[in-house]
Formats: sequence, structure tokens, C-alpha cells
Amino acid sequence: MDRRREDDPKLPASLETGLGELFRPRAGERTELDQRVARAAREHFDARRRVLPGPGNPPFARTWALRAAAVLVLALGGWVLVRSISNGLRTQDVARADRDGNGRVDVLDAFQLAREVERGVAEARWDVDGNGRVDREDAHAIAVLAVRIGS
Amino acid sequence: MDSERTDAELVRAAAAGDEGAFDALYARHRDWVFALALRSTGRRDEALDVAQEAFVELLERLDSPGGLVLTGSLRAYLRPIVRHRAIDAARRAGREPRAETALEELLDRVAVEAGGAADLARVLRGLPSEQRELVLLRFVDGFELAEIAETLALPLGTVKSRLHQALANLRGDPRVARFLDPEG
Amino acid sequence: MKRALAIVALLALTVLVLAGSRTVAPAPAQDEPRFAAYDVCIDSGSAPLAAWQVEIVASSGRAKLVGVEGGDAGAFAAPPYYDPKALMSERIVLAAFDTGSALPSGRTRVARLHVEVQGAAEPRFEARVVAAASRDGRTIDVSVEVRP
Repeated sequence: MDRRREDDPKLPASLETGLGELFRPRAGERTELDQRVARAAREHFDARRRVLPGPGNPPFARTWALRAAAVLVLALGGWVLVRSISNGLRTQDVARADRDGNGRVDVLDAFQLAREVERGVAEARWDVDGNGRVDREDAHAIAVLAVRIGS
Repeated sequence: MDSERTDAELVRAAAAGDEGAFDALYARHRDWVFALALRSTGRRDEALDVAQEAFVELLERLDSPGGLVLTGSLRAYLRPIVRHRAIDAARRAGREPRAETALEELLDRVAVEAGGAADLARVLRGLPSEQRELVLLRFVDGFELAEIAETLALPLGTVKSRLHQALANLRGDPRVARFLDPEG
Repeated sequence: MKRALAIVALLALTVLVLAGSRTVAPAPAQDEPRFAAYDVCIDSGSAPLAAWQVEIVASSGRAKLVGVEGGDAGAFAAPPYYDPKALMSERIVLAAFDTGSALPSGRTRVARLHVEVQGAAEPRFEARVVAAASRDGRTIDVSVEVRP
């Protein structure tokens, strides 16, 4: 008995191909994905080239350009985070999502609302995401708030 | 030649601004990333979005502070990214983010189509989910056994024994007879 | 005096550049990251576990979270809620709930963390339970453990 074959079993090629075909991108999908990723990569590397000096420049300048870019990205990221809205919810919605009034938003608030939604007894005031109806999405929104870092 | 460079080498080059290195990584991993996205979402249009998002996230991580340094395959690194993006997609669509359910729904849809693919889909659908995942990781995504063990946090021996059992189940199913080679 | 200052300044700049440049001075092999998975397990005793929230912090070792997966098949097989901002950091809050009837009790793996580990030291995680409830929404006492 071939020990390696025993340890790492193979499938007949036709079966392996058949399995692969179930999940392989179709020609049109492959082309579209190629185009989308190529566009993103081009924008990404173009942006880098605008920030960074050319390859002939000394590593010193390159390093500091990288650092400056990192600082800019971090500063911008921080600003975006501070301004960001989690799942469409504003910071003041956090208080609104504290269903059990224990002073914090946690998974129990989400769970309580989800149970009420299932039983059809959820009150309109728990429309946390403000879309005009109270449904499982509101429980989802509360859960997202509950795990938010820094909340 | 990019095809001879390891993932770690290509990642290092891409992080240094080598666009061709990124292209090589994309070409190497595109099909299995899409396959995993499709299994995780159960929908082809969402799989396209998820696969795109995964590669865009890889681009962003190349530039993250401290950079991205790989010691081995990119697959173990990309897999959770794809899964997370698929979860986000499911939640955006208001669905329960269960990859297993998404895969089973996908297989159910394929199973009603004509041809050999339908038979394979039915056979896969019938496998225990643990065995199914191993078969897909090994024979669709092309993971090595050690990579599977690392990815699923299972002992290598467990991976081997489950895979053996899965293959025995596959081979024993008359619906896959047409796919078996004479020596298989 | 001026020359001495210039030399010191040059040396300091050189050290800074060498420390900041990955291309000039690649990290030694033992500093290259590796990946590991850690299971998050909750023990709810005899009570069915319907909702849980835990906070996990990497307390030692150099570890960054790179991914979160679901737990054992069943109520908590899907990945839990977490803030994507927690990825590539050392602290994460996880939560999940299930309104179904097939709820686990006893010890249950509710999530798996994928971690990028830097250096030889095994990271350690401290976990604390923020909240847990049984099927009827009643708060229950549970314990949580994070282990490789």
C-alpha cells in the first residue's frame, strides 16, 4: 500500500473536476470580477505612486513619505470613525436601544426585542433604525451597537 | 516568473508597490475565492461582490501600518475575510448569516437542474456537513491537509480520517458512478 | 561641538530609518507572524443558552485578531456579532442570540477566533461575560473560556 496515497486520498479527476465546476465562476462572472478588481488595483497603486516618490529616490524619502501617508490615513480614519454612524444609527440612538434600562446596550436588549418581534408584540417606539417598522432588523441594529468597540 | 514566487514573496512585493505581484496573487486565488464566496452566500451575484470586496480588503491591508507579512499560503489569511464579507452581505440582505444554510440552498437549486451537476449537488447535500466542508476545502479549494487542519483547528489525524470517510461515502454513492475512473 | 551634534543627529536618523523600513531590514524569521485559532466556550450549566455577550482581550503575547467564526453546529453556528474595527486589534466584543428552541446547555463552543501571532510566546486571552440569558430572556450565570 502506498503510504502517501493512503494519507492524502485522491479523487478521480473527473469527479474532482465535476465538484469544481459546481462553484467555479462562469465566464461572464470571471470577466466582471477581473475588471472590478483590476480597477480597484489600478486606483490603489496609482494612489500609492502619487504619494510615494519614484523608485530612483532614496529610501530615506520613501520611508518618510510612507510614514506621512500612514499618519494621514490614520488621521482621516480617526475622523471618519468619530463621524461614523454604525449601521445607520446615531450615537444618541444608543440610549434608545437600552431596552432594559440597565444603562448599557447589550445583547439582552437585542434578544428581548427579537422575541417581541417574533411574538408580534413589539411596540412602534423600538423602531431603532428608523425605517418605519419594527422588525428583526431593529434587533440586529441593537446587537451591532452592543458589540461596537469604544461604545 | 510570478508563478514561481510564493504567496509570501508576492505579498511582500505587492506591499512594496509591485502591481504585477498583486495581479499574480489575484490570478492564483481568484477561482477559489469566488467558490468560497459562492458557498458562503449561496448567491452568484453576491459571491461576485464578496470576492471583489475580499481582494479590495487585501489591497488595503497591504498598506496597513506594520504591513502584511505572510509566512505561508494566502488562503488561510483570505478565508476568514471572505467569510466575514459574506456574513455582512447576508445581514445587509436581512438573512441569517449561516454559511451552511447558504450552501445547502445553493445545492438544492443546482440539484433541480438537469445533468451530472445535479447528481453531484445531491450527493454533496447528503454528506454530513463536517465531511462536506473537508471535501470542498480539499478538492475544490485545493487546500493541503495541513492547511485544512490549521484552518479548521483540527488535529491532522482527524482531518485525514474524516476525509477518508467522506470519500468512502462519495465513492459508494451510485449517483457519482459516472464520474469514477476505471481505476478509481 | 556642532560636529558632535551632527553625528548624533545622523545616528538617530539612521536608527529611525532602519527601524521604520521593512524593505531595508526585513524582520527576522522568529518575528514573522503565524496564525492560530482559539475557541470561545461558554458553560451555561443546565440552563439553555439563548443569548450571550463576552469581551475578550489579549492579555499577553503579541496577537492580533484577524477573523471570527461561528461555534458548534446549532444555535450558535453562525459567526457572532462583532465590530469589524476590532480586527487587527487586541480587544473584541462578541455577542449572539437565538430565538429558536434548539438551544445548547452545558459547555458550548460559541465562536472561534483566528489570531495572527507575532513572536514565539503563546498569547493569552482574558474573557469576561457581559451578559447571558436563557430562552425566556432571564439573565443566567455562565462562565467563559478562551482556549487554543
